[in-house]
Parts: sequence; C-alpha cells; structure tokens
Amino acid sequence: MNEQTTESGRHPVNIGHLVMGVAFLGLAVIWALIESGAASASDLRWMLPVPWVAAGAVGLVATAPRLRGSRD
Amino acid sequence: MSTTPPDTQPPPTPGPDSGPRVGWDDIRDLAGIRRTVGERRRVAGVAGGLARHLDIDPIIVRVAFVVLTFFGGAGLVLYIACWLLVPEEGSDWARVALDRRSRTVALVLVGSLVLVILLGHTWWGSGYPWGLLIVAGIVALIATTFPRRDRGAPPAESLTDPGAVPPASQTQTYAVPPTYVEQPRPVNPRKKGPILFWFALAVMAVALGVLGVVDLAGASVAPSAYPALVLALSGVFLLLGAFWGRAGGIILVGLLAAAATVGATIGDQWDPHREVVRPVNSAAVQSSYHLDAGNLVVDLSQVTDPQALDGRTVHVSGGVGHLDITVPTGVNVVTHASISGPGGINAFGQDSGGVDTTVDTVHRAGPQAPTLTIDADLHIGAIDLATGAN
Repeated sequence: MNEQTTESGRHPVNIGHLVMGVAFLGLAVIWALIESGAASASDLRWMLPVPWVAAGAVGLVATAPRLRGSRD
Repeated sequence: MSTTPPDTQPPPTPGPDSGPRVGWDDIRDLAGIRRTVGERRRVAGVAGGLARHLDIDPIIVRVAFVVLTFFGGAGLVLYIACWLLVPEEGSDWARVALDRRSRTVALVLVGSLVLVILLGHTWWGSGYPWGLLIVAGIVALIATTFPRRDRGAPPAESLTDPGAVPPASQTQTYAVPPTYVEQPRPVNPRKKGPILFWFALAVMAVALGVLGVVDLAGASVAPSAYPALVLALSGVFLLLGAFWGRAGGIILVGLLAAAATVGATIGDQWDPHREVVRPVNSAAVQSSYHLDAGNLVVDLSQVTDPQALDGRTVHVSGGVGHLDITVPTGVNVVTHASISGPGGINAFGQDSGGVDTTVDTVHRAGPQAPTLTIDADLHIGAIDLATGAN
C-alpha cells in the first residue's frame, strides 16, 4: 500500500469532501461580497442557500456515474 | 455487527466487502454498541463505536456530533451520554453500570431528550448555547490533535485486533476467530495518498500570519477576514482532497471557521450601526422602538413634560446588539428587561449577565413621581438603563 501512496495520491472522487469544499468556498465568496460592499445584508436571504444548492448539485453530478455503474 | 453481544449467535464469517453487513435488527440492538479503544479512538470512542454500529465512516458521525452541537448543544449531550452509558469494546459494563435492557432504555431516553432539544432550538433562537459551542470546539480541537488511525490496519472489529484479548464470555462464543484476522480489510480507494490535514493546518497558520502582518502594517483588514480565510482554505483543501490525497478532518475545521466567520461578520457589519431616538416631549415618545441589529439609543431624558409619561409603557426591542435606554430623572421606572440569548443587563446600577437573563426592577424617584414602564427585549447583546438629567 505504501507503494501506491507514494506513487500517486489521485483517487476516485470523494463526494463528501467535494460537496463540503464547494459549500465552504461558496460561503467564503458570500463573505467577500458582503465585506466588499458588493452585496448587502438583505441579500443574504437569497445568497445563503446558493452554496448549498451548488454543493448539492456538484455532489449529485459527481455521484451520478457511480450510481449508473453500480446498477450494471 | 462487529460487537455482537455474547448472548447472541456468532456472526457468519464475512466474505469480501460485498454488501451491507448490518441489518435493521443489528442497528436496533442499542445495547450492542461499544466504544472503540486503542488507536482508532479520538476522544472517548463514541463516534467510532456508533459508526461501527451503523457500518458507516466515523467522520460522518463526528461531523454529525459537531453539527448537532449547534442546535441547543444536542450533539454534546448525546456524546457525553453515550460516553457514560456505552461500554468500551471488550467490556459489558459502562461507566454508568446498567444491564443490557436498562442500557437500551437509557439510550432511547437520551435519544428522545436530544430530539426534544433539537425541536426546541433553532440556529439563532432563544438560549443559543455559546458555552456548549466553545466546549464542542475544544473537543474538536483535541480530537484533531490525536494521531490518525492506521488506514491499513485490520478491520475495525474488536475481535480482529491481534493484540486484543477477548473477554471470557466472548471467548466461549467465538470458538474460531482467526478467520477474521486473516482477512485484511479492502483498502478504500478514496483514502489514498498523503494526509492533507497537517499540511492544510500549516498553510492556514502561514496565511493567518501573513494576514496578521498585513493588518499590523496598517492595511484595513476586517476581523472576520481571519476566520473567512480559514474557511476558504478549508474549501480549497477539501476540493483538492476530493480528487487527490486524504482531506479527513478538514471538514471540522471548515465548520468551526464558518461559525466563527458568521459571528465575526455580524460584528463587522452591524456594530457600527447606531440609531438614536431623543424625543423632546411626551407626545413624541412612541410606544415601541425596535432595531434588528446594532446600537439603539432611546434617550427620554430630554422630555420636557415627564409628568405626562405617567402610566405609559415603552417597549424597546432588538435582535443583536445594544439597547441603551435613558429615562428622565424624577420618574419612577418599572423595568422588565430580558435577553433570551447570551448578554448582560445593567438596570440602574443593578448588573446581571449570562444566558437567558431577566431583570425586573423598580427605580423609585418619589411617591409623587410619575410612573413609566419600560419593557426591553433583546436576543443577544446588552441592555443598559440609566437616569439622565432633563
């Protein structure tokens, strides 16, 4: 196993990390918009769900080929 | 289930990881849960034990505990209760020694309690337990500083630990356990490559240091930029770990950073907001004032006809921030002040603070003085009531 580890760390996509990564980056972008004044606090109402929707969508897209494969 | 109790039949010999190994009956067997020991343990072995009971990855349970802690401290209550009620593997007796049936009932009661806590609290609702959140953060910090378990280790069953000595009761039940030892657990293909956690922490530390230097150098850096930077880096490393290397543990860091960013951003954005109300006569005094976030100053000390305030009630309310209320001298003031979350109240020199604070007080100016009633409500922050000259 050590050989595998040192050879390459690339692996099949980890959905959990992918989803949370997109969500955290999305939240960071929202923070940047708020801090820079590009968006106001009232915009949070519609902006806050966006990272989660995006994260979920990315997760679904990444999971779809795996689901199709497991049915075969 | 891996920790099958001694009074049940031995499990069939597991083949390769070819399908679900835990059935509904196994999951319902709450008395069969065992906390993990040894290198697999992070704090008290509760999350690892629950994950093994449910046959899922422990990181899911750990994240669930942290997230549930945001809701009224439910995660922390559940964790501590499981720590007290669930025995370690290789033992039938927990710290609170109960037999199997009593333990099952106790765990069901704990689950019901957690459900009640969850239903009774919302994210920013009343009684938000900041103290519990801090404790959860410390627990998460301790958990992440523990050594990672060896991914190539034999399966997570207690009986498969080469060094573990099964208790006498289990020895009789499992006559031939070596078959487990001989079968190495298939390596999860998604757990391949270097562990990113420590590298990510180092990068975050360097980035925070650089930001701090920039801040000190005179650039305008908002306080919330620090947790936001950690949040963004957590996202970057998780995205990297989704395809390359192992990003376990960074989700916890990201969740804590997200909570800190929300708190700090509220501080950045709304603290400067200040609304001052200073009526000059009783007719201009409204019956209620409200501010969602910031500093609301209601100064009644300039009212020229305080006698006309006799019998009136003024409601002053806010979400997050500071309510600063000044009443005219020579007026009796009946005060009902309450902060549903964390905060402090100072009513005419009487100090009170904590979570869910209420102060009912009467400030007497004299028997002939008019009486004004002040109702002040806030979710989080501070309420100050004082007398001002008119």
